Amino acid sequence: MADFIRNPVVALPDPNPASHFSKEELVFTAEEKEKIAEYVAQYPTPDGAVMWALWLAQEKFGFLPSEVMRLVATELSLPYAQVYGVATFYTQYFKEKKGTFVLDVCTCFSCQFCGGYDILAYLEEKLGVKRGHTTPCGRYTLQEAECLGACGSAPMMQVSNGPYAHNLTPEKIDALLAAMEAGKPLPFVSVTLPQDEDEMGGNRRTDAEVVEHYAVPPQTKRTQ
Amino acid sequence: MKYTLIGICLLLIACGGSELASDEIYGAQDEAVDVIPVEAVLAEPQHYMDDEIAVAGTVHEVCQMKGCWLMLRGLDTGEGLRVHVERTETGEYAFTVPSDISGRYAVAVGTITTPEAEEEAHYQEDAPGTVPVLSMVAVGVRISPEESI
Amino acid sequence: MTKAGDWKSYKRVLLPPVKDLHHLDVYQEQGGYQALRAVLSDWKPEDVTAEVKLSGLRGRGGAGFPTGLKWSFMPPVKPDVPRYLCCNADESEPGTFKDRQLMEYNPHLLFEGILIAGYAMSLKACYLYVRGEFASWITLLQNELSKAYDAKLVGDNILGTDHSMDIIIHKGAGAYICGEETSLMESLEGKRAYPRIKPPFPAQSGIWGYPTTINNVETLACAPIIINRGGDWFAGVGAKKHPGPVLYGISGHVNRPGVYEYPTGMLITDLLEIAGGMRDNKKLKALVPGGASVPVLRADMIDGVTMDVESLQEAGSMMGTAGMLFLDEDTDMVAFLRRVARFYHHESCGQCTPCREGTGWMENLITRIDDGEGNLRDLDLLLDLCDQMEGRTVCALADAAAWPVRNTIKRFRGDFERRCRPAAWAVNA
Repeated sequence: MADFIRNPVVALPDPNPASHFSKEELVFTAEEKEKIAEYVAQYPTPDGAVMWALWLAQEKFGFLPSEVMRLVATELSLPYAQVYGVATFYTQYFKEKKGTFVLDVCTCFSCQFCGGYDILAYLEEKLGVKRGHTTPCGRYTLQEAECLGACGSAPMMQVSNGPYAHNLTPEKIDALLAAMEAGKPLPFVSVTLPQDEDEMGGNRRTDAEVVEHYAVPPQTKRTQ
Repeated sequence: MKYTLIGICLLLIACGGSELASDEIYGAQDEAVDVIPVEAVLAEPQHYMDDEIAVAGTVHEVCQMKGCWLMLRGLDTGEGLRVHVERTETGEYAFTVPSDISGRYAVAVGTITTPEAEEEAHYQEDAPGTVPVLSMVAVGVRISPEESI
Repeated sequence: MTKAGDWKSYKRVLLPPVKDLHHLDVYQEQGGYQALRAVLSDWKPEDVTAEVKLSGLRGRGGAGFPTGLKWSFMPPVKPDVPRYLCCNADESEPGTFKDRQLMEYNPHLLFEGILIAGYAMSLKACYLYVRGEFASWITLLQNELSKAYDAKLVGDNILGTDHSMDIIIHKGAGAYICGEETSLMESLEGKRAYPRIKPPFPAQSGIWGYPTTINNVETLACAPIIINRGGDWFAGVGAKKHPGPVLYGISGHVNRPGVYEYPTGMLITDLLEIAGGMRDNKKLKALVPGGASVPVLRADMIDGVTMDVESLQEAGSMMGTAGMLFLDEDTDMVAFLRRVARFYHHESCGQCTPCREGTGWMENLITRIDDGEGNLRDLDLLLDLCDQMEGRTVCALADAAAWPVRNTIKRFRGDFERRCRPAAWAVNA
């Protein structure tokens, strides 16, 4: 038993981790506090606002080390354990430092048979890192994601928990990476319904920044 | 919340209890139109087949695992109506009833069907010796607080 | 049941062909929010529920439960007890991508549906739980919602009546389990999304212990259509026991994947034709009719099968979310099942042992078979494992993980046996 406590099967979190941020950095500004108060007002108890507050903190700090979780807990007057529990449950909250761009390539279900793994392999080769790792320059983190809900426009990926990129090909990846290098924000892509193409001659939104169409998925042999 | 509840309970005891207790409803909350005694349904099931009706009777057995079925019986006959709760397409129960309602008076709303052999075999495992003539897929069960006479 | 060819004249109602329908002014020009106006001025709440019951609408989120009946599970209104609606937009079932497009192209239909449901059940507020990956769509929804608030369509005293209701958008953060209704409620309450034991059912004790109803996006979007056109009109569209328009999300090895709106009860073969047939004139090998959890169908099992609860049940599958994956003859079913098993292993919340350990064990076994190191008896071990998981957990995730494993092995056993190491002695196949 004692041995089990000394050498746990699952690594326990470090009780005194080194702080990633200085005391001065670890504060919410007045606007952010106001925003959090707005979220709190939407729920009967402050607990409900935990997820929104963690999102806000992640946008501000880039990831959620324990000191940021503590900051959120203090702001909402909740126990740290609860905030820690929530933050570690969901995959989109980053518990360790990620690259500037997090590339979530979907390889699940439809994407598996429509070239998701080809895209992942191409990115692994291009960035020189394996899935689940960050490039040494700290710009890109490559991840394999579970179904992102864009199965008709497979293969696809999501960039930094934000916009989706559909119907990926190696050329498209190159263009996307070039745009990211140049610091251009990636646009929101509206995918046209096939019935709209037939009945309305194209996308129904006139305000869509970029329009994609559902296309024949590419051939692939790679399934893992 | 908890303290309010305790307060209400104390108040109820102080007032003499049962007069304020009302029916417990599980599942659909609609007011049933015509309530038919279970004896009448068992006597002439062909009249009620495949229609949504409300049947009243005394609860004899209840599923002790999940509360997903109960047996309604009339006063004078040994035959019974097996009431089981509506399920979703994936097999989950839409609602369940408490397992301690034997002997209470209940009104079940649902559709009458003939029991399927396969299903019956499962129920015989669950509660041997109960012989239903009919079964019902219930969307709601109303249970009276009083023991039936 | 739809007659063959009926679909050719079908006019879309969930996503009618109107440019910029997602703008509030366009939506209102097209008669939007008329159903809400009518309901608020002339209808009694219980009549709305009765109309939805009459329409025969079944939930579009996977379980296919009659919506009107679900609404009638809400207990009588008590003063000072708030009641809530949760709109489940945590669309994470693999193969499903319809709600995202509905929210992008017709968000006000969803808002109107939410408000109608809110009136029918006398609700205080609706939490619209959108999965965190849909961040861009959350921004779109927030924009349109604030316009609806400004137009007095949502909020206090809607359209000058006594009825008030808020719609609050909640952003998830990537957890498949949050699509399960009780775990969605836990997530909303700011906890780890561990499903709750039922009873109590959400209608008795939901979010923060108050009566709650949970409906899918597409289900709620049907409510204004039912009010505008009448429950009998809706009941007459598509399959008799499972009526209404439905968004089919077609993906996989077809020429024209995408989201298509057609009535329920469509022949699967018709839908394949609509989606342009199989790519490169290949033969169909397998079809998953409603998202990863539902049993896979072999190509020879789909003749005459229609997309509705009854017909699919007869064929040995389920309607699920109507997210259909077509796979061609070159598909490796072992690799398919390996990835599906991995998905469930990744997404198991870890609350119940049979699921937490079972999904991992399943993945390991299938990986072993896929790597060519499996034994024939592993197949029976997998089937036995399914028996040990199904119905032994708090929520249905373990069942949802077991169904595809059980049915893929049963229906494509040859594919699996060929990958296993040859047996040294006779085994029971």
